[in-house]
Amino acid sequence: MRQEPLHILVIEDNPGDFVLVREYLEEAFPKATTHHADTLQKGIDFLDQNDVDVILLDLTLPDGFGISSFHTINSKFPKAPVIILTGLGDTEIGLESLKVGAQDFIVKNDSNPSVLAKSIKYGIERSKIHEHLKKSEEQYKFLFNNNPLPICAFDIETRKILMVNEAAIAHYGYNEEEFLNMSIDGLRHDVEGKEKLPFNDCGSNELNSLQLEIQHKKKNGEIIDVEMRSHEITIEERRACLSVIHDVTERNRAKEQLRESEQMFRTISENFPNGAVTILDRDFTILYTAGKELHIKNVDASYFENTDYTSHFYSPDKEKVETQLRRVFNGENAVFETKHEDLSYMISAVPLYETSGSIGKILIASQNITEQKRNETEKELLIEELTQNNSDLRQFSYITSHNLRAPLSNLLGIIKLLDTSLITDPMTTLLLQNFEECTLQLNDTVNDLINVLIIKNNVNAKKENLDIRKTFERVIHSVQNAIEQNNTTVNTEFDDAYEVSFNRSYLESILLNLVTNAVKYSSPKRPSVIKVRTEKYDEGVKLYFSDNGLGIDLQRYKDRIFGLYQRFHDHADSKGLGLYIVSSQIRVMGGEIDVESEVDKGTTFIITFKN
Amino acid sequence: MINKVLCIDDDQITLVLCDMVIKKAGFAKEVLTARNGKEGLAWFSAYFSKNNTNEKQEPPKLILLDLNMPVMNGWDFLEDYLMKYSDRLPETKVVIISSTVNPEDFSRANRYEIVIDFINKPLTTEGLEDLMQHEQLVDFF
Repeated sequence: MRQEPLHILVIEDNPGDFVLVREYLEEAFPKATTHHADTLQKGIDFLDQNDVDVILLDLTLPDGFGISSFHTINSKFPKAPVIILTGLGDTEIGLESLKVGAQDFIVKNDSNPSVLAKSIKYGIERSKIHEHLKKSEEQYKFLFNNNPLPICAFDIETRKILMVNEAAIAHYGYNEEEFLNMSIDGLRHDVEGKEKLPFNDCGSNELNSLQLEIQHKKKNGEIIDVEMRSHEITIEERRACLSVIHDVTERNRAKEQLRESEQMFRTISENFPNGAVTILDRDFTILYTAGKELHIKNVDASYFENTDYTSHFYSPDKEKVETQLRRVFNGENAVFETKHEDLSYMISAVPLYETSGSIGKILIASQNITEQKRNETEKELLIEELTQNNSDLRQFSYITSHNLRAPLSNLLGIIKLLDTSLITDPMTTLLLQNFEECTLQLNDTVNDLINVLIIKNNVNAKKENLDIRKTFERVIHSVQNAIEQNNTTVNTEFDDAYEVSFNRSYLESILLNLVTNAVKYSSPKRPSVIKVRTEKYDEGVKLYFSDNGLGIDLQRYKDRIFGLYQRFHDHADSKGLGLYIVSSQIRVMGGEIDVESEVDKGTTFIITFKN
Repeated sequence: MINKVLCIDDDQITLVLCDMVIKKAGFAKEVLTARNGKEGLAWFSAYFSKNNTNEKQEPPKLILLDLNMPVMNGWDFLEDYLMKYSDRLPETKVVIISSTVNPEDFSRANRYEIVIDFINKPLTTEGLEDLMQHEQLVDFF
């Protein structure tokens, strides 16, 4: 209760009534100061200048009109408690004034000091409480409306929204009226089939509030994840619920992204094919390891985690790994092979820089290369073996050739020295002639075989720029006799394509072989004609060598025509080597040979010289 | 004509043929023969020995050397000869006469300065006639 002396303003035009009231007041509040105004205006003027604790207001003032006098005062000075003074029989007005906010009413003629004192004391107290309530309500409203989080209140039973704040309006896009026509469930997304939210059970304060994570739908259709915290309040004597809504869509999205990227990282590392990824600390401690290799070996990653990486290797690999990893901690990348138990690994390690620029950890990717290593070793062995075999075979062929040639050359020497003119016996002469023929034939065969051998082993035969025209002329000249005997016509058409880069003796040998073949296998049914022409193409020269001879059945012999010891005609001179040598010589020079032929029409060889 | 040639070959028939062809072609007056590198070296060893009483004996100006021989082959003979005797017989040259087809032999022969030619067997009068035209031998004829 107030300690200071009370200030009481009495607005009363009737002096008698005022005196009476003052007497009462002096008796009830001896220390109080009573102020008097005999018109409403004077009262207002006084209140403008002074604070009072209570106003006693007569409703029959000359410048006031009944209850409107109260409204005038109350609207101007809402904090001051007002007690209405009425005359006898004005009880109705008094009651009405209570409805609109007056503290009390006193019937002037039917009063006494104690009634007045009680009324004034209660009035002051009530006004104070009212003021306090009003203030806290205002604060509450302020908090409600200015809260940055959307808040809404709704009736627990009907679930109708009763109040929303500005933040809710801004966030959801509904205006207040729309909100107030909705139920709290109307905000939910895809509510069908979902159980009703149990607001009935929510607690009565923040501490035991009901927390829900649900999805809401904004007016524009956007679906948001919300965290809703609700507690029970009373609004107009009905059970209501106040919900503070926190939009966590962004947070959830970020969380989801994080989860996804973590998942991705795990997927990558755990499925790291045929190996493992490992992260090491500065002291070589394994912080993380994963990869398919662990699954294959049926080892759990935790077996390795928090162990020294190098402890899984044995000397001397252990030291090698240590040296390499130190390099990585010094900022280099390292790639090296090592062994773990009986398996081989290719290890790539890179430093992981921290934001400060220092290297706190390193990343190691190890690949199991055991299989490759094994294949490699096998391949190397195989190559070694093949090389050795090839070399042995070559040596063997050289020795065989030599040993064949040595006695053969003696035979040739003897034949050269034999003077058959001294022999008189015709039988002996004939035998010696046959002997000579056999020897020469054997020599040809051996030489052909040796040629094949030398071509095969002479990949680096010297190339030079040759004029096909001249070479061909020389070849024709060397077999002039055979051509004339066979009545063969030779037509050439070299035009501008006649320069090739080739080995001189090979080219001569090729052309000679083709010419002699054409003569040898000419058809007895028609005069033999050889046509040779060349043409340029992008990479060199093509030579077409055609005859009108016996031809070859390519359907049957296509695959074998350039093979060794392949004979397609029954001819005394045929050894089945010519085309094999031709094709070998062309291929060893990087060229190509192809054939077109029709039986009893002729054959065309197409030689491609590449420059 | 060359006074004296040394034929080193393991094949008796080859040696006989060489002798006949050389004489027929008028290539040399005398043909010495050895059956392998070792016998060839033995001739030079004997020639330079203190016990060599035949002061007038003349060393061969040309050695016709086979490569594939038992006991000591042509290459080994060549190495030994170069080490022991060639300095004292600067005029004596070597011609290889072989049935080899191994390209390695041809290129190896090329690396010896003392080897002036490489003839594929058989040795014929035509081959010898060509050899007589050789710049390092032409003065003999």
